[in-house]
Amino acid sequence: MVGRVDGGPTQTTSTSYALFASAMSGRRVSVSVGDVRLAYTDRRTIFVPDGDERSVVMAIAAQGALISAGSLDPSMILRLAGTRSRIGRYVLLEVVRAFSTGVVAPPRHLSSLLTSLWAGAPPQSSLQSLQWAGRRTRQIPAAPDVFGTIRVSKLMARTMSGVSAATILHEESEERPESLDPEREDNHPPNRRLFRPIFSGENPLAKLLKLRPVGLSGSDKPEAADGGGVGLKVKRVTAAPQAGSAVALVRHSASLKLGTDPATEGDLLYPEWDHYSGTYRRAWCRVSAVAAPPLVTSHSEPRRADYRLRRELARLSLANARHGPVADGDDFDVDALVAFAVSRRIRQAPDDRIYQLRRRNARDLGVMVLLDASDSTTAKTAAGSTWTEQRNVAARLVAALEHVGDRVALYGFHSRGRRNIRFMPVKSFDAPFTDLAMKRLWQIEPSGYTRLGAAIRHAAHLTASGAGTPRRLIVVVSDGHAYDDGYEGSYAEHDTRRALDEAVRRGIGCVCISVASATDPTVQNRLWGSVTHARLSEASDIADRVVPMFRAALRAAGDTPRDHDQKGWM
Amino acid sequence: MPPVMQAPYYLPTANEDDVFEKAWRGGLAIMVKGPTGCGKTRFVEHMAFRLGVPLFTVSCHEDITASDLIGRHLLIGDETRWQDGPLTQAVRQGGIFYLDEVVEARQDAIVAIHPLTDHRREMTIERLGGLKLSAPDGFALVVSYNPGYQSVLKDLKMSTRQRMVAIELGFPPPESERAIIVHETGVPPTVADDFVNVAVAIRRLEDSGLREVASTRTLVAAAILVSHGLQPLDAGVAAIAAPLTDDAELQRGLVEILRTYLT
Repeated sequence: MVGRVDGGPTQTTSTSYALFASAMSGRRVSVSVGDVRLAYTDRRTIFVPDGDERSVVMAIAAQGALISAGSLDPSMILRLAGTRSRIGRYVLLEVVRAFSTGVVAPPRHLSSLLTSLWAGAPPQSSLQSLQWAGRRTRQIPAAPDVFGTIRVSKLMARTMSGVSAATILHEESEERPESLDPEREDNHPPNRRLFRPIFSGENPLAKLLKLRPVGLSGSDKPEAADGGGVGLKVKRVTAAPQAGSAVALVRHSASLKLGTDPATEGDLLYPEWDHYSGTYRRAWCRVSAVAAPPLVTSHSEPRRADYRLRRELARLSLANARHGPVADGDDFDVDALVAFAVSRRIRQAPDDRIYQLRRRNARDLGVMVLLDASDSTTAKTAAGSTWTEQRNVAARLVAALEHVGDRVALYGFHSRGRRNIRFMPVKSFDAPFTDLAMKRLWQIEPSGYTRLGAAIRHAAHLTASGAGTPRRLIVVVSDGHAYDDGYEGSYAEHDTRRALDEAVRRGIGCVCISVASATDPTVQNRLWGSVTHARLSEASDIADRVVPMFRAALRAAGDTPRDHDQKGWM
Repeated sequence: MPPVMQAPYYLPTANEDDVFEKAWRGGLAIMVKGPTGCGKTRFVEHMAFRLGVPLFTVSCHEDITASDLIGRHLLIGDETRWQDGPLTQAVRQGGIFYLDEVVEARQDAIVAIHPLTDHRREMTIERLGGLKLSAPDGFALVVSYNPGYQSVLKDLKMSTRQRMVAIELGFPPPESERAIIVHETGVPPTVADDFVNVAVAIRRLEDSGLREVASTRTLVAAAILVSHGLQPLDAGVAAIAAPLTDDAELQRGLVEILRTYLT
């Protein structure tokens, strides 16, 4: 549909400016038009005062330019102490500089305004702008009000997330002497030194906060389960359910049987890869399938048909099916050919449609969606939490895959130590994805930790035994933060990568997706290794990425020599 | 179709025409990579004309088979008749065989081109009793595709990729893109500039939900509408914003970008 665009007053909303703001900023930002005196941004949202369209657009362009040119980077912001007028000059210089690079053109009105405000050569760097802005010898006008300002406290609050911003509020004080130029500020580094760790991502406090155990007191620590088990009586350890899967199946006494799905019945023991010694720790992790608890909530989200995702997935992983008879194809349709010969022999008009076509439109894909339901996923994000975004991706994928006719299963998991890795079934391969399943998904409360390796091994086992399709995938939806008791750092990364490799060697493709994750991308890259992975900023991005990712994963699984002899780990 | 007397217009942005010509003279297969609408097909057409060889184009899709490329027997009335596919025709006549959007084709179909891409430069037609055809000097194999996401790179088999010389095309720099729009449509340079500014802004939106960005082709389309009398903003909406997305909200956002540069 082509919208008619009139020149007159428009009802543009903040959301329709978001794309323009993102184009100006070179990254995704949102726009909030409202009750502020001067425009400013916290690098995620550009806040602009309500006004006529021209001034709103100019404010967004100027603030976006600041983001795009790196004018608001923490290193610059910390040097930006000074009066409003100094900030004003810095804003002007940086906007001039941003548009002088030619990365993006300024909107028309802004372009003429900039030429009238600044005639000389643009500054070459943010640092230079800062120096010029601090010098009283140069006649530099301040940015007009329509460009907005820089609010250091908002930017700092964003960066520090949680650490009291009060300590730096004085940076924004309007009464600071103007004589402080950057060179001089360099002589007063303690402030910056104080904050540097926060920016470098190495802040131990932040890490600690994220990793803090939840609900684990001394007595129910995972180790306690080590000696006598978790109160489950192990009757016998049966052999691996199938060749090559190297899983020991532990059956419980009848009263403790969990779940009804035969594939998930009982607890399973899995090895774990210890890269320090280069060996597997045999039967190290116990995975139990928790039966879905009775529904206490009837809350879930209505399932909306995600046509875009369906369309994408419909293109994927099709097997050949024969169609015919047709008039032009690759092979003869033997029945039609015989009929053709017979018709000719008895001198009737033969039917020319004697060929068969091969068309790729039979489904042959089985997908296991493995959803990280650990406590670290409850980290808050702009739109809710990492967990809600992850849950959303999982629900969308499962619904769309089921709709296009693929076999799909969805399990949540979390762990509390190596003996206590819990799988929460939402949908098995054989069950339909009903509203009830949606409610089961919505009822999962993220808690505990993430022992990824064991979870992936169990998912691979369920997929190998339950999918029943020639092509199989495991989709791990996780924040990429592998952590559990005795399971962290490079040990966890190596084991996770190993588990993914094992799955790929069994011919099961692996795809790892994180949504709105706070985990450092370099950590994620290490963790997921060579397996196809993506960082999405929100759940709806999945449709754009899903097909190339699934294709790559399927190809990797198809190309990797199958490893039938996995006895090494038992 | 009337014979084309003039080379299809193509403005080189780097040394791509030189690489193409040298590769063609050396009998090497060529892979042209670049985003949708950046001029891959136009480039190949231009080069085929410049080198004076016929061009056989196949737009690849998932259902294409090796016999679609090589040829097949058809039963017509009392007899079977062999019909050459485009690849066989190109080899017989010594032209450029061009597989457009090659990743859309299945791998087993693509393997049919392998013997033509190495030193053998010959093809064997099994259904004609193992008939061997050697490619003459003018024959060249050209494929194009859109790398899009990085992981799609894995989509073309390594064994296929390594047989090719790659030419990477991007969207042309602003001055070239302006020249292209002016040449193709005859709009005044200022109008072309405005559209280029729009495109440059939209191309920064990599993470926004748009699957593709505004290509040179869409800019030309918008400029054509302007040259026929449409207002630039209306033309931009019809040729740039609306084709890029069906999402109403995204479209409103795009219109907002158009508005800032075109009004």
